[in-house]
Amino acid sequence: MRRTLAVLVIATLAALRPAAGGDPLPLPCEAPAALSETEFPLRHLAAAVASGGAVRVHFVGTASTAGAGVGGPEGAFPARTVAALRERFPTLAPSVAAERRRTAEDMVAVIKALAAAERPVLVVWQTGTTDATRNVDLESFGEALEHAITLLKARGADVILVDPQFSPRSEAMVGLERYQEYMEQVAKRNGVPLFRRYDLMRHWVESGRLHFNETDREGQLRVARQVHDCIGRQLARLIENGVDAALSRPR
Amino acid sequence: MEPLRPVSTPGRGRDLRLDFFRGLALVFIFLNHIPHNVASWLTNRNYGFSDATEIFVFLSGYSAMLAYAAVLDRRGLVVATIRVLRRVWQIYATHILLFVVYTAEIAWIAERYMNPLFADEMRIAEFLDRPHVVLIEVLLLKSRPANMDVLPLYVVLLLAFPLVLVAIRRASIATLAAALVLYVAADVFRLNLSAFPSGEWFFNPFAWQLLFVLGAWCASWHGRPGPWRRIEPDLPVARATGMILFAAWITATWTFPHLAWTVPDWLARVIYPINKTNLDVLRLLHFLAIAYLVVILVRPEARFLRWRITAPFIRCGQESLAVFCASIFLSFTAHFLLVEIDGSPLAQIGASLAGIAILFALAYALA
Repeated sequence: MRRTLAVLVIATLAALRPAAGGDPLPLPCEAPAALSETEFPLRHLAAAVASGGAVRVHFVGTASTAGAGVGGPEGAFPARTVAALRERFPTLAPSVAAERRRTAEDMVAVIKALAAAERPVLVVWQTGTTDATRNVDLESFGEALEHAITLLKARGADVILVDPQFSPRSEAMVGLERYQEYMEQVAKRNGVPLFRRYDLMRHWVESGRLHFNETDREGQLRVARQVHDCIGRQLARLIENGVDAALSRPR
Repeated sequence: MEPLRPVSTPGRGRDLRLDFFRGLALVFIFLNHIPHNVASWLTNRNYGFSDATEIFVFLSGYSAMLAYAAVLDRRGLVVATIRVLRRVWQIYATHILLFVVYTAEIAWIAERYMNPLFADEMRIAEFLDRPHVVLIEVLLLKSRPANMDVLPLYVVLLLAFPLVLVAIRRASIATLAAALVLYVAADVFRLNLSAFPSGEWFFNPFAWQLLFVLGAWCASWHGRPGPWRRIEPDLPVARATGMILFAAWITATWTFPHLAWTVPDWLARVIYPINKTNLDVLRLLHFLAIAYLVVILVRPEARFLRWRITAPFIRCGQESLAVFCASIFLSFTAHFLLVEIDGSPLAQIGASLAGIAILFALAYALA
């Protein structure tokens, strides 16, 4: 508990420092284009931004969506994604519903409530990690994904799935890759884009540009913020790509 | 009903194909258990639906039949059952030992690098927080780390083996049919063993038993032409080849995402998702296709089985349990060293080669 408090205090202090929020980052965010491209168009988003009004992008997820380890939501990838899209789509605003350790099944309820309360245009759904840590069987996991996707599509929303984070060390603890592969197949089956966060982070780690060897909180926070910023930029790329696909291939 | 008859055929030498492919599967499993190992591109995993696990489970059933049917014939069911249980105990004890080693390694990493960025991933923290609760689940085989799923499956399959042995002897085709019914039921009625803290076994024993029983059933024809030999090979060979090519195409679209457009939507809806837990029918058919072609193409007296380079694989296949357990330990160690010291592709190849060398040395030392 005391450790958690200490982390929170440090995280808050770090977030208040102007430099930590600033832009130039040592981690180059570039990655192979295939990792943030999609063959599936984001038609509803394309229509909503074309009509000009304010558009909320709903992020549903667990700890990483909430901004664990980055010192608050403004450093987390949902805010970074919308920031990266500001130039092209100035009317977008993020709306985040995230809580740590929720399975896909848990979040179906959140998505149901969201779909009932308003007409979401785009839902970015980050999931898979908790299911992996709890050994949720793949079939139930896939059914939860499909359930929510079908529901959102029926409500006229676009969906983007975001797969787990990669770190070489968590690979030894959790069988994330199985869930990541399964998510990819469910996404293909349902014709929704999958944002390959796992492969992206793996690419940065394997190309030697990213490591998680920091043992002090300061260093860990710095790395986490860079990762989330890059994730945000890459997710923004995927969203632009999906909108372009909708514009170039009208129904 | 088929009459009781001895399965082992004295006078004929050991079928080296069995040992070779089992040894090869063990080496593949070792390479695949090191996460993101470049050397795992050498394994069959990336070129089709099934991987080395299918080979290992099928051949385990096959060799269990060969070994224990001989005991059954000479010493009776009680002795055969005791032999099986002794094996089960060995595997169980090894699993627990591996768990201890694994936990020590993970605890060290978690203490040192616990990064709040990975708040959701730190499952091991749950273990370190309340080991007294989790330990029981580990002993019950309900809780186990990623990559340690195969041994618990093997424990359960082998526990049921005396039953399978007798059943195949008494009613060979009926046993196979029962295994098939259980496989389908596992999928339809969601039969599986429960895991801890929630969820189910990654390798569903009710589904994977089919390969094990099928292996045992094929072994009951050992030394005689099995029913699959009586069919004209032309049509099955064409179908098996078609399946392998189809699987190679689909898996290529996973490796190269920009080929994904070649898979039409309707096909994606039919084949995805491919579930390893329940031994998806595509994985099963793909494995059967490979197994059939191998049986047709590789004769027991094939020359390559006598090459010097194949000898260590054959040795590994003959000492499969020890080699398998050692390979899990070595894959942990290799992954640990790759993450903490050097993870470059060259280091991955080095670790893979060193691990294989140790496995070979172990197999020879045990002989």
